[in-house]
Amino acid sequence: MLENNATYHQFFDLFQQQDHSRLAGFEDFMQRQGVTFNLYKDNQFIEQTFPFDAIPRIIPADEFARLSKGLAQRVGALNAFLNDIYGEQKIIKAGIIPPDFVFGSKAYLPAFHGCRSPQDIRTHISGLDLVKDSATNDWLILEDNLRVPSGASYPLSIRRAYRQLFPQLFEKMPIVVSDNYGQLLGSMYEHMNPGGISVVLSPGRFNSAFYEHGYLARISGARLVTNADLFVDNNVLYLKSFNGKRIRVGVVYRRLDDDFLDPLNFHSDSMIGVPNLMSAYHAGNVALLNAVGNGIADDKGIYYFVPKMIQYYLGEEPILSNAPTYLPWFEQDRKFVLENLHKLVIKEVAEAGGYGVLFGSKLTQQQLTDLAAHIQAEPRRFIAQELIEFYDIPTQVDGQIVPRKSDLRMYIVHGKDINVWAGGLTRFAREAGNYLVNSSQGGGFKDTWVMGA
Amino acid sequence: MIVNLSYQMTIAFSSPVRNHQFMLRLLPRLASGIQVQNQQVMITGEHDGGRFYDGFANRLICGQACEAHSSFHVSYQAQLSRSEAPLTEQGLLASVYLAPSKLTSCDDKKLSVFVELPSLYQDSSALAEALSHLVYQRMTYSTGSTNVEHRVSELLDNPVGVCQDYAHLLIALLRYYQIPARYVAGIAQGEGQSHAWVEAWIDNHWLGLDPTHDCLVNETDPYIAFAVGRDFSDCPLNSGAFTGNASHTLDIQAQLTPLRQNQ
Repeated sequence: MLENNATYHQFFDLFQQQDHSRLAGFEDFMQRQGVTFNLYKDNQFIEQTFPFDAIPRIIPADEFARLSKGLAQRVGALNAFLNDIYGEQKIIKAGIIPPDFVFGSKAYLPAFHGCRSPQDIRTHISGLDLVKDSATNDWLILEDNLRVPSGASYPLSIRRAYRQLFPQLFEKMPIVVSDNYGQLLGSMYEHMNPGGISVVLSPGRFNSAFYEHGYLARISGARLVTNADLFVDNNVLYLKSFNGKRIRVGVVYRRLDDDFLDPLNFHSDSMIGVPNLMSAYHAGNVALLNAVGNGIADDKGIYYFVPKMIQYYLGEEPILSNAPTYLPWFEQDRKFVLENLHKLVIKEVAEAGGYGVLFGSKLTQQQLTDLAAHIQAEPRRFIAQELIEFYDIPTQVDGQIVPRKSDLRMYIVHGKDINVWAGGLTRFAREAGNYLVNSSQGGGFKDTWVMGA
Repeated sequence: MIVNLSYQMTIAFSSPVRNHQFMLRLLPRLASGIQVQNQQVMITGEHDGGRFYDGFANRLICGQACEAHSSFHVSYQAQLSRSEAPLTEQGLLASVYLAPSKLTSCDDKKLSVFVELPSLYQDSSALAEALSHLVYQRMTYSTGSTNVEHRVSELLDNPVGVCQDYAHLLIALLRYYQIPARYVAGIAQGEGQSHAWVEAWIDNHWLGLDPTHDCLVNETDPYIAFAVGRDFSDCPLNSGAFTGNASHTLDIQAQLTPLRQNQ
């Protein structure tokens, strides 16, 4: 079902009047600026532009206000959860989360138990994925990404092109300016900084989001570096500058996973990490954004418990709901899941990026039987969700305007305050009827327009 | 128990290396009830160094030796005493040590076939001791037969290895019976090299088990823990990275001498 509100009508009325030959300008812009999304699959490196559709997702002011409150609340609770799990572990002692869901996860890093992140902030930059349910007309949280959420640079850079190509839309519609994202990052760095400059640490040009690393460094006032530019001496992190001087580094917006950060503490064969980086972290001489060990909070098995975290840590009722989710680990849920397998979506907790997602309705009887056996053997490995009939958004395909499933990733920057960025990455599935919008599954993107009051 | 501990750890490089970053778990673990007196630590190239604790309450020495060197030394000497109270330390919940870990995870069915426990045991301590004895019986000790990445899944097919492998197998068995179990790396009397043994969380304290020697580790026995973790991969005594194309060998020679018994 197509999402529909008065603002979409206003947009289409204006959009019809525009010179559509200018649409080609988007592709030119992305080519010129090198707005690429790299895939690394089966040892093949593929650099491609990220498919873009000019019809935006539009979020009315009142909806954005509610989303903001709900997302800030959720991130606040997730941050409290991370401080607790790497501290007192009260939520486990209280019996709210079974220990197995935390301690059995590879993303839980007990080696950093008791290691506090500066200011007790761990969720500096989060990307929360939402869909809007057509049955209830309400937003649902699908996923929390608290490690290295990517994608903000795409709507940010395309907005600039949009303003140049179709200025009239921005004159006539009260679109909230989104180019403050760099400032949000920059002031968060300042709040976190124990002394020194800020850097964006990239694994290098073969990473899927290398374009983004450079872009975010530029707009947030940080240096773009790779591990070869950094070294640790006496528990302090330094940048080797071109003239041989050392410059102290206080903030590392790292765009690599925990596993690769420091070969002395994680994968010993990591060639993209900084040896002994964690000694500077232990000493409190550097802030790592996001904190080490955050993966435990965006584990798909932990997702189920986020509404309970909001109640437990904040004493509030969740403003935004999860998609209805079942944990086969609980006997009651398992019974329901096995009986309703054919209409549920089954996800493997350890997978991401749209991998390991099965739609019960598309499986053969034999596949359903096999899946049921897997779930019974290893219930902890799976979650099951109701299939959400989330809205389509009008999308241009081959010159036609057609409906396509679209989700929304919103970015939340947590420094002194928790700020929800008035923009976002809307991803759409390129085929009709497809529910998987992930860019690693070939999805495209749209800009997200938040309307002013 | 009061002991004199001294050791020399040497890493020999096949050619000189520079910018050697190291992280060592070579200090007695205070959380294991050990008190330290008259400690002297000397490390190649270290200036101030960093002394930290990891999440398992193991002590870390982090530092760097930047000048070119072909060998790296740590020499240590101290008098240690160990509390004879049962080890009950706070910190991580014991259930952290219930989940299968990197080197101990294996097929439960294979594990159950491997165990074939003869009878029911009256309590968890007796079960733990029986499992430790079983590991001792089923394993064959052979130096150099395995490496530090050796997994329990491989041991089930070919039960040959060194103290680390004995410890991993026992940990897997204890966890199979829902007893939290952790790996302990350190020095034991009579061992020139470092040693590995196991602690099992039973009746709210850690029970020490040494499957390699088929014995319990009592609070009065001369075992000095340097590090604990879910398995070896949580507590390597030495981690390092350096600039240079060199292979290296590590040697540790320790003397652990009882001075006198308490009381």
